[in-house]
Amino acid sequence: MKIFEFLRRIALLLGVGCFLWLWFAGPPVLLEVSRADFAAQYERQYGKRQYGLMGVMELGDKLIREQTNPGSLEAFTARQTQHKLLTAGDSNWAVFYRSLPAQAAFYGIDQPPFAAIRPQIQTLFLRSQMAVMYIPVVDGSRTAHIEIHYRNRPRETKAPTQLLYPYRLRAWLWLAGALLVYFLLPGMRRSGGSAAYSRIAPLALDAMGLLFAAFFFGLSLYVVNSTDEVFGSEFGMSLFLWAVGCAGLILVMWAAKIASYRIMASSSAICVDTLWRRREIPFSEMSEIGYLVRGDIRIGIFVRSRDGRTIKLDWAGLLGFDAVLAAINSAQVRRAEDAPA
Amino acid sequence: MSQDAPELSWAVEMPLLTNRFFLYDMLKLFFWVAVLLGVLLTVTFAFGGSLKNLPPILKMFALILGGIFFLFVLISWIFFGNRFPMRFRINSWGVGWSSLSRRSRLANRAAVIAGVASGSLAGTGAGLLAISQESGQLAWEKVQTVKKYPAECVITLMNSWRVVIRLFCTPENYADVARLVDACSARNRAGAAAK
Repeated sequence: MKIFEFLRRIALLLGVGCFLWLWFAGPPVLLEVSRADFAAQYERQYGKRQYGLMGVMELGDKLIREQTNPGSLEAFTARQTQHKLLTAGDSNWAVFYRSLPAQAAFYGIDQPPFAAIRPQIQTLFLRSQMAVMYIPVVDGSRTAHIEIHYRNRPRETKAPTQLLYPYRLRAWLWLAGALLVYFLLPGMRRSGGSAAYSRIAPLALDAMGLLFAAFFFGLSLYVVNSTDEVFGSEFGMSLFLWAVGCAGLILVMWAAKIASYRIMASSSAICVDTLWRRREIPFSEMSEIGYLVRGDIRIGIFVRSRDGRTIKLDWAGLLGFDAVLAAINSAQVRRAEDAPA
Repeated sequence: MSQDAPELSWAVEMPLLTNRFFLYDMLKLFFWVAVLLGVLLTVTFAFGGSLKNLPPILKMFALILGGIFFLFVLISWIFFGNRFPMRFRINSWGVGWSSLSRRSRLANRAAVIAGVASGSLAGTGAGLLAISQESGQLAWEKVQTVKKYPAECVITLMNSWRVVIRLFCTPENYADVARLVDACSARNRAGAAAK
């Protein structure tokens, strides 16, 4: 039963950790895809413009336009797509082009149809560091272009949540599983004649520990652009946040320790249960007992056995310690001088 | 000790994070600070006509309060070692208490010195306020309610609207303290009724 106090907390921490990881996990790259409209761009840059008030900037802009030969739309298109073209031999791209909505759409780089040209996209981005690429497609009698924006900070885009955080539904399962294990695994109960901590104490420590651990672990996942960076470029910062969050883990383990702590007194012996072991000293083997003091404050008692072992029993926060005291007093063990805690 | 004993004095180490009364009082404090801050900010922003700017400010205050809570827990746990030594005294006049924590006294005085040195009125004030809370007393005539928790060895004394002090006892002296508290408060009630 004692080990359950440890296991249920490990399950809780793991479950909440997995929940947070899956909650924030998402692709490191998204592609923002739209139909390239070079005619509109050409018009914006070189078309006639109706100026309102003519300031210095507007006069300069007008002069540049008058001095510049924009060339044809085809030449402009060639300039815009130079070194940014992806070669896609598949004729299905034309169908894809026609299916694109008027607004930009978002796709994962491993999602069809882009999965087939993923190496090309990544090579082009790494080589040129240009975030815009084009796929030429034959649309009827003309050549059109699919415009692809390589977004390596997906959380800053307007992509739908399902694409940014695709595992969120699965994350809830982990949280629900962890809570189920935590609450369904049987915990230790205080029986009559034993001293133990109130059930509120470990519960409160669990809550605080979990809150702190989850906050700092979650923060390390929240501040990065994608969860890949946690073990990559932002590993140092993540490590620091996890170290701070470790305070929460220690609180939870402390809760396991105090939840499993029991002092049981019977008519013949005192038994001390901790998370990992059980010590029993029969009254017949006790050589002396005395008060533990810190400063001039009595904080508990100690029991010394004939083989020299000493068990220190701090009574602060323990419920029912009077029963243990009564059992020891009735055993009429020799009194010792007070000992420092 | 007999029931008519005029005075009882004892020292005890009060647990902190493993003490449900401390946890409850801590949560109550943070809850009311959050509520007060929320109300004050909402009213201020409402009068300024910029309620739409309120959520990010509230979010920031929630984070600050969370950070203070984290520090509060860490200080209770690491700085105080999850214990706070106190001395209590009960006599026919009332109840007195004082902190025996050297760390707490040192921290309070350090706060005053740091506040004065840095010219911070808030820091100095907080330190002085903490020093004034290191000890206190409560006359029986002001005690309205006595609540006893024998399992935890704690007795709560309340005035007409709030908890004033919790008497933390040892498993050995709880029964004596409870008897004396009962006797003194009964005597005081009888005296008040006679008037």
